[in-house]
Amino acid sequence: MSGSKKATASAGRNMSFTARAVRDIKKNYEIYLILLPVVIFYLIFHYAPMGGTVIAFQDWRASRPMFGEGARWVGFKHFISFFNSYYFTRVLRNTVTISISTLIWGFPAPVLLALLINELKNKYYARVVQIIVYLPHFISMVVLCGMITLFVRDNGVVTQVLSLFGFPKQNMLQNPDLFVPIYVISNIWQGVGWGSIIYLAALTGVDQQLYEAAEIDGAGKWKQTLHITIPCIIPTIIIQFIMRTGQILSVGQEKIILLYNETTYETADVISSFVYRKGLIENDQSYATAVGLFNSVINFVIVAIVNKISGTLSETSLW
Amino acid sequence: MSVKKVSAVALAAAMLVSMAACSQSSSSTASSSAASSSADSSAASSETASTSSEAASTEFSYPMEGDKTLTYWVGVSVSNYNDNNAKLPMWQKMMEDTGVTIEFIHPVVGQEQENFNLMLASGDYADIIESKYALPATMLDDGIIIDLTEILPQYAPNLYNYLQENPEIDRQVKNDDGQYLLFPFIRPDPLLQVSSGPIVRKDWLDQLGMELPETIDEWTAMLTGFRDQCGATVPLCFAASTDLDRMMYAWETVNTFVNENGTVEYGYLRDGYKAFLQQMNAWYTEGLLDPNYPSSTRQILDTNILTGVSGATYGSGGSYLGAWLTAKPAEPASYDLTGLKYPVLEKGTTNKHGNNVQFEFSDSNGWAMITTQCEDVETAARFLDYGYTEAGHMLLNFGIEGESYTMVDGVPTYTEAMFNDPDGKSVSDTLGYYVRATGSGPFVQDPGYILQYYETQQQKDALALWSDQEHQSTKMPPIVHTTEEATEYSSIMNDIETYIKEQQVQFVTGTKSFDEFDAFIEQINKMNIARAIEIKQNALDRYNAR
Amino acid sequence: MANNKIKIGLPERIFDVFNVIFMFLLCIIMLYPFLYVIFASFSEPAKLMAHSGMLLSPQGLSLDAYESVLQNPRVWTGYKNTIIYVLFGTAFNIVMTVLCAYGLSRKGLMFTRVITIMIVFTMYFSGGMIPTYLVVRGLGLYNSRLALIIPGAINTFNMIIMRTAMAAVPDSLEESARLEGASHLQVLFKIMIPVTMPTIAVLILYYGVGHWNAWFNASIYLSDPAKQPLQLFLRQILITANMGDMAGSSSEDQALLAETIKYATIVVATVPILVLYPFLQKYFVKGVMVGSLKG
Repeated sequence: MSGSKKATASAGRNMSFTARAVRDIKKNYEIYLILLPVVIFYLIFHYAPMGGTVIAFQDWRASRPMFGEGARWVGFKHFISFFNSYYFTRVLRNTVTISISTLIWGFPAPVLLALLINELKNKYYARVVQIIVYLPHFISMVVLCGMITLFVRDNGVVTQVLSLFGFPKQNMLQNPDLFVPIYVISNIWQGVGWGSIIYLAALTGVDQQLYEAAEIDGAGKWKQTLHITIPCIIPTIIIQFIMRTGQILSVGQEKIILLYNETTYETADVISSFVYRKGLIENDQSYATAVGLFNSVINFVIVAIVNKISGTLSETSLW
Repeated sequence: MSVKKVSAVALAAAMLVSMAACSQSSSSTASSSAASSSADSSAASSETASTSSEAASTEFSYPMEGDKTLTYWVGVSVSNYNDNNAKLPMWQKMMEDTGVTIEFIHPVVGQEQENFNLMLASGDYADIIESKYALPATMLDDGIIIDLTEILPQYAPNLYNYLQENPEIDRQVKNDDGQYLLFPFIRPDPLLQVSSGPIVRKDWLDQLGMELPETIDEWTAMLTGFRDQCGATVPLCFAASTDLDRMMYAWETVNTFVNENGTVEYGYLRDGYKAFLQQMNAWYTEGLLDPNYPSSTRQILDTNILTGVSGATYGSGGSYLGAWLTAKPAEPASYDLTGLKYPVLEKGTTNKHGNNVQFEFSDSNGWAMITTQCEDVETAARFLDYGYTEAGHMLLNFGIEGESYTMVDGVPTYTEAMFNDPDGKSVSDTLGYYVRATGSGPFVQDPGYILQYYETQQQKDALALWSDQEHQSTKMPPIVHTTEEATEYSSIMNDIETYIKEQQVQFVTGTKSFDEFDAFIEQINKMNIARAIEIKQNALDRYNAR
Repeated sequence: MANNKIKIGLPERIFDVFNVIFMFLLCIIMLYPFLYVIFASFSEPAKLMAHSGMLLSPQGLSLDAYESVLQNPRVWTGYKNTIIYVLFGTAFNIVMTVLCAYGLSRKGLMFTRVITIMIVFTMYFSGGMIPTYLVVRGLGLYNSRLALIIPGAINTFNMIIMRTAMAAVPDSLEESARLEGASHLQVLFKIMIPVTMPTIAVLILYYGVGHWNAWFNASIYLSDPAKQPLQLFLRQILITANMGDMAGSSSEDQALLAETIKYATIVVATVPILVLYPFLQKYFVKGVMVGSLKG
């Protein structure tokens, strides 16, 4: 940060800000022109909606303006009503549960997979394995959820196979206890291969001389993994982990909406799906926006904290 | 505009329309006798015909002049086969007759509510909205629709006169302030006011040597028999989880509010609800009720009913019972279905809570409104009013003469092609191309439709059984909330209804024990059901005072 | 690796064997669901319903489900629309992302820092579903194909990958071109894009897959079935089990056919991806080395 500032500052130390700005824009107008559509895009599709969150503090309806006269301001009414609602603790709990379960089971899986693929001696076999494990990533969410729906019905193939092991023959998507496992396992099935790419890339970047040196020192495979491979991909792991932790309260609604039903709301309804139902089905846009804004703010705070911690603990940080 | 002027214009308009109607009926004696024949079967529907012949006018006649185009927001008809109503002969004919081109705006099937909300949020409305997804009163307050009180006499004389001649229907259609906000869907005949009820396998009942069951105990015996002797793996199955609520009627309660002699009660708080849950739980535990009922779909139900997996369900006489009888499997040859009365607890009593029975004015669907963004209110009103004219009545109920119906002994009779589609479409689908009577919409439904639509004796019998109940005494009439009430009511009830839905499933499936029932009721009270009941009560009081 | 044939310990060899077996099992787990779907789609409906447990081959052989699916015009409309969204959407994504990344990766400008902060901020804070919807609607994009193309033009995360790749291109390349009088656009097209092609390939893949999979925005922005992508149709068939006219209650056979139709629909909707996949695969494996992100 300070580096680039210094560079600019030293160039025009004695000029006023405006003069420097004008000179900079004149000199680099081409680049600014290139960036113009980009900036407009961000203003319209990201910053305008941020402005639109004012309806969280209003009793807004399509017929009323958001700003100026006619806007009906109600302060924190919708937030308070959400905090006092029966659904507040539930959607919060479900969001955290689903998110943490996905993190605990879903995060290590691709790291492990990458390590194992890396250990395959036959590189041709390794390539085939890679091709196959990446495949599910390309299945659309709708098809994935459609397949889940078909497989875990009471006469679905998964249910039938599990019933051999004593599981009841039921539609698993109707059992609130099974929603999170279904969600997490299908996530891993679909994402583990794709997720491993990044670690495999990091593994290829490991200096082969380190291994040769270790071998000369007589270190076994296990020790090499522990002392060379893992340290080498640790930065990647940390970055990935930070990004995941930052999303602890943001579980997307798309997969939830496709899989849940009223039987499983109790464990499946998360903040985003709640916002969707409130805002688009029950037509309570102000309330839904309030819930969404609450979520955005919390997410932001979490990312800031996580980033701070990781910045302190190591050199690796996002910002 | 002065009152005098309005009424003068109204009179002129009314005369004009009836002239049009006269000239049409003179050109086709068949269609005027059709009107009188349908008038025989229903006093109320005869008003349509008499209205138009009473008045006399000189100026207005369909089709209207000029290239008029309106946008019309409405769910797509015959959604299985069609993606735009403009492709349907019925709508094409209506556009031709009225001289108005309609551009349809259709919501995504299955996401009507979202799409509707999104349209409102955008502030960009169609000229005409036919939607049950928001209350007319609220839409008026929000400046989305216009008040039709002065428009109807002026530009919709057919509807207006019909309402004046049927004060009881008029009372239902108006709001508490005496305003007209919509073009209503009217079912003037008791036969049209009920369309669905329990359906069971008749051949299985015969096999078990059982009469049509009347009480819940007999139902249990029937379902057990289906399971043990008829090979039904899922004896009782529904098309949707909410259909299970129909069984509540036996316990003298419903899944909504009840009008108990002028006092509003909430069905779920009535005594019978717990007993209902316990019985459903018992059926569920014994494998009589579909274990997948919370996520069941129409398609699953079709498969189950047709392949002998299920033997009892709930459905409508046309698209369920009728469709199944048409599609009935080759094996067993005796395959047969019958309608059943709603069960009761004590033999010999009559069900009082079949709240799927409608009032004449349907406050649940089918009405059309004109929005504030409509630039040509007259055209919109006249277009909609066409549905209440003689010609419109015939078109919306029977379709196009020579194509979907012919006059047989003065009675409009659907053609053979409607019943035997070469592509194997069901009657409701083939008719859906030509009429709106199979669904709902801004017009007066003709009982002549239902008696033909229900081709089989089983359907006609079922209709008789289903309509045999004392329903209207306990059903909430079409009351109207103010915008303030509606906002408060929906914010309370959205939460409560979601909560009840999911808890009910857990009680039925046994995930929750009945020890927690009191806590469940307590939670409903905590969510402020009392206020919701109070809002309903106030609205009912206002209605009764109309 | 070639020179470690010297001596491999026994535990290591056992590990290797297990690793190979484990990977094999993993591949089966990854592939079997597809196989099951394919087998089921070719099965005779009645036999499929009667069958219990895993399928190792189709139960009977019937093409009725495929006939029904392929004759459905909505499948083809959906396909056409999805291809439109994937092609035009991805092209627009790439143009915007490359422009943005190029601009932000240039050094010595006063305002790139501010713009970067403004952009990165949107990764961590958003207005949310409802306000975003209102903006899109307010722009008149409702029921317009553009609603699926413009609002998601830049994925900030992808843009950062791109910017990193461009920043990593040696300055000397650009400088020499600039000395020869090349404009920034020329530098971008003649030097930056060719050099960063592997990264761009990865982004094409990311964006393309994103468009292919997208259904939620389509469900809230597009009301006209003629514009809806395949995924919405799939959702109708698979999730809400609304079979449309492909199967119905008009006969017992049709009612049963609904089961295999679901599987056939999955196959029909997935086959192009499976066919393209081997060709795409090498692009991202090559490119991901460059894209292995550091924001």
